[in-house]
Amino acid sequence: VTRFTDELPELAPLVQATRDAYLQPPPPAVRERHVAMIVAESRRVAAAGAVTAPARGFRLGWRRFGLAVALAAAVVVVLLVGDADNRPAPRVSDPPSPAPLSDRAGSPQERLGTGEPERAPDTRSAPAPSLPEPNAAPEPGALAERPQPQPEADPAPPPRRSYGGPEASPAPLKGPLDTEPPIPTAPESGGPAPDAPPP
Amino acid sequence: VRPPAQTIQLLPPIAERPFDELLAGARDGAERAWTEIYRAFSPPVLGYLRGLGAAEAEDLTGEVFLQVVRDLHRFEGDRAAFKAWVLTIAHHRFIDHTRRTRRRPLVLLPAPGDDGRVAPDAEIEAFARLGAGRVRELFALLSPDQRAVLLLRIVGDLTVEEVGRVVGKRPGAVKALQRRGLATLARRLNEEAA
Repeated sequence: VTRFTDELPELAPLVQATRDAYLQPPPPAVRERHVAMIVAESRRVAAAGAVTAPARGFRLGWRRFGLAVALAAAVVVVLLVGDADNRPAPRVSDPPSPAPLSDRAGSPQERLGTGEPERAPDTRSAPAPSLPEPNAAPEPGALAERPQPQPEADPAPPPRRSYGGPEASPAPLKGPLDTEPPIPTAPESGGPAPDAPPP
Repeated sequence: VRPPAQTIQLLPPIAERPFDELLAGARDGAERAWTEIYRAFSPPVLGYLRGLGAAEAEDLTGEVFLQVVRDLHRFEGDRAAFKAWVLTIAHHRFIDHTRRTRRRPLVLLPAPGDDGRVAPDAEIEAFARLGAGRVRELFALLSPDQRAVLLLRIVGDLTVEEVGRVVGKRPGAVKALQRRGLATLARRLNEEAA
């Protein structure tokens, strides 16, 4: 590492002339103005550096907090959406929601069980089925929002419950007890048949 | 009693104080520290900018030191490294300034000391003006790279490696530029002598 004059001492006159030509300090007025400007800028930078460090940490902390809140909110939204798609069907043991009487179909006699066939409640108005029979419960895994297959959509009541009376069955079965005429049988004593015309 | 020549007071001794303390005071915004730094390093910066042909060398010097203030927290090194660093900022500032002023008309640069703001002794001023005139004529023959290298080596008193870091060239390229520049100057001086 050598300086120019050490490297080329024979050029000392040129070096000296060049330095005399260019190495001059700024005028006093310029120097004072520059120094005042430099000192003001230095103090501003120092003050900004002293303020910037805590402010930067504060902003970073709030940024992390905001990111954590956003992530938590996103997780909650995802869980809610996924739960809505995979929500399990209400269990039978769940307390049924009471349905208003006006929503129940049928007359008061039918609701009191006077030989009238029971009708399944309207699940559209009452989401929870109130039937005690397991068969009437909605299928497991069925969506709550989707329309359930309505039991009342089939107007035909269960046939086993239609034996109570003529009104019970809109299409009564013709059983051998009350619908078929009696079969005429021949008298065992050889006499004429009761319905046979007299000779 | 004649006032002392300006050229004699160019390099005020700041070696009395450790340079680390000077930088620490400058980082704290101490006016005395910045006054010493400006007094010590503004002449090579201003001389380098003038030698490169900056139209507003004094204003550009102020901008250079403002950049020094803003980037001082990044600097680590001794006095020589600090001078090389300041001259690097000056070099970059001059390039930016040249790019900005290319769209403007060319301004004839006054010779150093011709603005009347520096009023040294009349004889010394005449000698400096004569020397400055000759030096300007000689340096005008150089290419911009040769001029920058020689100014950094003579006015900035930097080593070849430091000049290479300032101008972004390898030491071999710096030496080649220096050799060609000096050859040009020697040829011109021989022509004048003959």
